[in-house]
Amino acid sequence: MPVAFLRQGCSLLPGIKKISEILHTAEAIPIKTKTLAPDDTLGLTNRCGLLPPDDLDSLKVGRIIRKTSEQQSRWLIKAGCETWQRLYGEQAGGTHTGLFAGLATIACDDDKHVYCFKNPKRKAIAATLLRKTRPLAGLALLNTTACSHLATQLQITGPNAAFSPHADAGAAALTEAYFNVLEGNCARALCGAGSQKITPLYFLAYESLLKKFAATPWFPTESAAFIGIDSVYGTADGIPPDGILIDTLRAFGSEKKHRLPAIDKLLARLRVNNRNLPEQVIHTGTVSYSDTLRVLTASHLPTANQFFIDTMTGYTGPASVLLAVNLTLEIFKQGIALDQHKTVKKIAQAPQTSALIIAQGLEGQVNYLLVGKAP
Amino acid sequence: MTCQHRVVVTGIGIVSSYGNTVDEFWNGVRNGRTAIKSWQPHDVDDFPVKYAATIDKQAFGRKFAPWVESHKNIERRGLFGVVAAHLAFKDARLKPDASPGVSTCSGAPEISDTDLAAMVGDSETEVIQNLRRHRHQLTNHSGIRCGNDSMAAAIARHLHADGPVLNVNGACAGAAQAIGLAFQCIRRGEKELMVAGGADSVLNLRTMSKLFLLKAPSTATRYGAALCRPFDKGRSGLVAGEGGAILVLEAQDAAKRRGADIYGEILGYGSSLDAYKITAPHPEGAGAHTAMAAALRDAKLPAEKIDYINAHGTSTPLNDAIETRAIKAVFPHALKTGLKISSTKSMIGHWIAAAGAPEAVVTLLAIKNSEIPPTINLDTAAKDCDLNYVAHQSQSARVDYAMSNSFGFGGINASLIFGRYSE
Repeated sequence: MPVAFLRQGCSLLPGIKKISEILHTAEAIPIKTKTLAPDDTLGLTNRCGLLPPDDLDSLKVGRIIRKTSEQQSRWLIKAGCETWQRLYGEQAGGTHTGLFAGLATIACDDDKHVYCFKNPKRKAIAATLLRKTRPLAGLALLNTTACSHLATQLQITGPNAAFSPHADAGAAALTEAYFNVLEGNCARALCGAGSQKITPLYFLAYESLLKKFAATPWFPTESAAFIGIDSVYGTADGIPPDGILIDTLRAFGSEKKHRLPAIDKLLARLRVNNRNLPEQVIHTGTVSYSDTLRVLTASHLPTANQFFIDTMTGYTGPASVLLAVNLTLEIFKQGIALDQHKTVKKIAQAPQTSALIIAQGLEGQVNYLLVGKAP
Repeated sequence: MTCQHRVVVTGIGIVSSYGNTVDEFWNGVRNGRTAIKSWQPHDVDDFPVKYAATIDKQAFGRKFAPWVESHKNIERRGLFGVVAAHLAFKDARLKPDASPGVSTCSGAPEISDTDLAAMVGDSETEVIQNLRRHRHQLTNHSGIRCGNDSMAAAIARHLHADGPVLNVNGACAGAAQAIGLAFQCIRRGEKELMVAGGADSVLNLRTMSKLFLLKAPSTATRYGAALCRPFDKGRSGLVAGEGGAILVLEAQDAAKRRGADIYGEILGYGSSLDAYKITAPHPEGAGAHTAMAAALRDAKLPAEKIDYINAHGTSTPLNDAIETRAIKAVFPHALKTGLKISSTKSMIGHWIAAAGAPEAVVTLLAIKNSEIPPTINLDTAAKDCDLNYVAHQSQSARVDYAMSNSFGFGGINASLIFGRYSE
């Protein structure tokens, strides 16, 4: 029976060096209040978690990657390369390695000048766009440059897929990586996800949608996280895995009123599919109805501890699912359980054997991933 | 994984320059009729890209007026996708409560020229003020909010999907990947019914300017509307097209249970990465080779069984030569046996992220109708393009197994294998 072994990878979050620090900081990660537009013309003085810009100096990446990667991609490249280095050293990926990624909104609004024109007539706009746009700016529109760069850097040439732009995209990447390893399409997979780059446009564009759906207060955070998934127990250096992926399911509930029933259905299927129910639940994808969600989850898993990762990290979009996996593997290592009421976190010594990650997209996508302790 | 369901295609929906029925589309490609014509963005007369295959906005708006009205919150290509999904569902004779999963790709966020013009200002402060004034619009137009997921979600809502709902990002291989992932999903027993494919349009100022600066589209004028010339020595870059194509994929058992008509079967899918350069394909076609070989392995078919390849065939100097090289490596007999290869893009242009979807449709219809559509405008094959590209006119031929290739910018590749359906 094929098994998908999980290996903890790199988690990039503002002000945090390792995912374990989430467990032992008193409150949420350092979230800064930042005015995102000159003179606060947006009226959006928001709390947000910002990662420092990364020039990839710490990695031996080629000139083309440096020249053609935008900031949002660079966080993914950094987290992906550091994960690979930690797990597989200097090996090249090859055709037996897959690459699966959850990507955030497309970082194509970085250059505000693309919207700055003296003459708003289309002919003038066209002329300015053709003159002022950076020659390689189109690469950002693809949203897949990070995957191409990671593949080049690590020589990964196997099966691949990328999804966007919210928490469900991270879950989809992990699910596809899991199936590709189980079905023998690749022997191992590098799986990761990033977050949105926070800009005024991002805030403006999402404020209504997130006000409708997301928890209040809502604060976005820049992040990236990766893991390794293998079909074999030990790495070439004999390092054992940190966990296994036991089961995954995905569903859709188009309207808000259908989302909870969709989760209800997923949890019911979880109970049918799995004899050993999880003791830990980690929710990702900030929702405004977390209290109802907590009650619903408790009705299926009455003894499970529940933790809402976004209340600690901020909204990290697709990255949240990979952060949750890395956190779960850390919980297994430390033999602890993580519970939470509102934003207060409680840690108890409690050996865990499995944990359920529930990921929700903004449009009604719901997913679960059941992670087990390594045998 | 022991579950291995056979996967069949039971419905096709298409929104194209030829029209919005499967027959109109098929007649267009089988007759080698070009959909490419002179193009300029509205109110612009000196844009360097001069040709494209466009959909008549007014005609589309008239024909699908209620759709346009009820889907104001998605961009135009998203609307192409929703309409195509609706038509595919209808073609498959599925009931509204069939609850499919969705796997689609729609490429870079689309911002209409009208919206762009409304946003601009002559300073950053003015831009921000404009953005603030239009903040209600920002939410409604995913191009501005820089997500590209509105189409997948709109299709899911329209068809009352119950999941999975996947918004795939795979550059020009995106739609082929979306179909491949849906196929795998059904094969492993995760879902019985999926709608999969893509819709895209890059015919707007923001995206087209960026593509132009990447030197992807041809700016030549000497061939007129015959500008898209895959494998020809006069080829000079891609010619953009637009549209939407969605396939209904079903587990064979489920399709048979409800007495569905079957277009054909999906037998294999392979994806790969070039790991070479963001701006150019691997010179030996290593990534293309890996994807095609993986698809054959997945379908458990020897290369000799493939009767027809629907090539990626972009009309760019690099792709067509490299794809030819890769095909020769995977199909060493191709030159000798005259393996039939053609490029649909020569007629409908490059639908960018969606390209794999109409090409999957053509591949299936070639099998079903025993007819291979041509590569048009192929007057003089380039030296390094020496295979049988079915130039100018379609050819009658029994096709039992066929492959469709999609090789994307940044070295993201996907190949699909389709087969004639028999029990």
